[in-house]
Amino acid sequence: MTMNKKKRTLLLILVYTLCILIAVFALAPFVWGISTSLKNNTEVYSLTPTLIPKKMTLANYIAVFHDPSMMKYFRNSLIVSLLSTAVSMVVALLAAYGFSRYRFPGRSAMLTSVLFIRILPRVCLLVPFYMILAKLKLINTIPGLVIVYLVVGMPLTVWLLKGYIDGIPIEVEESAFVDGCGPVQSLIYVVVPMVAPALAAVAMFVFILAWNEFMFPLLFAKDQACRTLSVGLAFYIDETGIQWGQMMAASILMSIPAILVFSYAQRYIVSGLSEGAVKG
Amino acid sequence: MSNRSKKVLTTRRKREWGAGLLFVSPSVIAMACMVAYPLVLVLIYSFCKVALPKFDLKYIGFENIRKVLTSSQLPIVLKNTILWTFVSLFIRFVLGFASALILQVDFKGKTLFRIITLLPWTMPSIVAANLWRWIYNPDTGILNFLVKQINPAAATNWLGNSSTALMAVIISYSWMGFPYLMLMIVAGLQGIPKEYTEAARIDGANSIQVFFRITLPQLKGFLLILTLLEIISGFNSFDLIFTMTGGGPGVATETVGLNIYRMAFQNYDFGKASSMGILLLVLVMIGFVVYSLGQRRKARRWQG
Repeated sequence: MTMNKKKRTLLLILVYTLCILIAVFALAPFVWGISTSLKNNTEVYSLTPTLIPKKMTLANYIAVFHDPSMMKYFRNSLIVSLLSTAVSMVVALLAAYGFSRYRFPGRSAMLTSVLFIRILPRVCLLVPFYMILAKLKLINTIPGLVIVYLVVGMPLTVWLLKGYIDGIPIEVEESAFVDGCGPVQSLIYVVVPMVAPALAAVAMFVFILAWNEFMFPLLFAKDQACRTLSVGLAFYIDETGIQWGQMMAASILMSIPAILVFSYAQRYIVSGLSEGAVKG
Repeated sequence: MSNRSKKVLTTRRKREWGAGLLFVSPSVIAMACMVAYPLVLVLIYSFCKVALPKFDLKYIGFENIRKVLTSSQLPIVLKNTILWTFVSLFIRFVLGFASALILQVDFKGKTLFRIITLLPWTMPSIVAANLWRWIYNPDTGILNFLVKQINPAAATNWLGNSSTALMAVIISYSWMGFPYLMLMIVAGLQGIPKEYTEAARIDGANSIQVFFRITLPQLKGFLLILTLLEIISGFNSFDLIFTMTGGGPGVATETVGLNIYRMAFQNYDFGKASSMGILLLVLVMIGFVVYSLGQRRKARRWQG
């Protein structure tokens, strides 16, 4: 008994030590960023840095909010993310329903191809994406980005929703069919309410994908008119000069939606990702 | 079965085909336009000289691939990519596994720990890059300040020094990526039936034995596919290196992803970029074929 107790204390000491080490590593860059964003310029570049600002100020945040180009990028990011979310939800829901409820030639090949996107090196697609978007006259436009995110997100969105719809017994829908519903009505009125949590997860996943993405907007939305926040932040120093305090403030602001959505949706996103990994 | 009912059945089935295809058509069309067609294009491009701006093609055979393979930069780029992918994968696995195992123990503050460790993963990559750029800043960065307290001579321009730049970016990449591995490993651990570990315990196995004899073997398939996917995302990654070092100083942090970008969008050599992309794709495909062959053999062994 004492032996066991001793072992348990030892284990706890080990766990707490590791815990603190990992947590400090995980948290430190973020805390340092927040601290910097709340300092005035003299303190930001002070030779004896302080963790807690001597004089806290929101000046950096206010400066970001008063920067018209940053606000424009923010609006662009929001529009791209919302549009991508809406388009992806509709397309993925239809596809998941079709794959789950119908048997047709080429079905499994198509399903595998969706998963194949996941293992495709994205850098391989840079050139052809660019060319196709150029042909469709969608370079430097918001719809161009929306199409890219739709395709990039499909492995997760389609497979996650398909998994959920597979879990709904067909009998539930059959009563709707007896009542004279067509498949589309059944999908909207019977299936959608039942997969609502998965649909919410898919929406959040696509929103964050579009919100965080950097490489595609860097190449396909070069114009200032449709530049997104991620690209704007990367070139912050070139555009506004070296303003680390402001840059930290803008970075923290950009990460807030991502943090909120992710912490809410991570359970579903993880189940979608690991399912894809296991079945793939 | 009468002729008539057979006929009804086939028309019904045909109608089912139609409805099913109709439902999946938007996604399939998007995939055909944005994935299948592009892949064919990359394949064609890699054997052609692509003249911009109209994408006029001239067949030049294996010239592009020859140029890629004999480029003097290739060995450095490959070395960087391999270091970048595998060193960071190692760090992420160690941290991810440690965190996942910690989350198996009941202790006070477990939820807080989970939230804190998830934070880096939720961050947009560009934010992560900015946070770390500020830390590594040569003049006013916190890292140099801390290093100077111990040894003033060790302070350096972490991202601008070719001997430290790659490791510095790898640390940032590992920071951003380890929570994802933690989540996946937690999901994998949950899939192991409790009876297995309990049975081993009753037989007198200690924690370390249980981990190496039960947990790891049970997770093997899962970890293998996870590793493969992470290797691909390592080859793919672009954001952090692009914003933190831009591949520099010189080519000290140039990886395959960045190299393809540079060939295509800075030198406008789309043919060469495509052939590099194809080589990368072939490499990935070989990995997956080997993996699925292994899986099949294992399945057969279990059946036999």
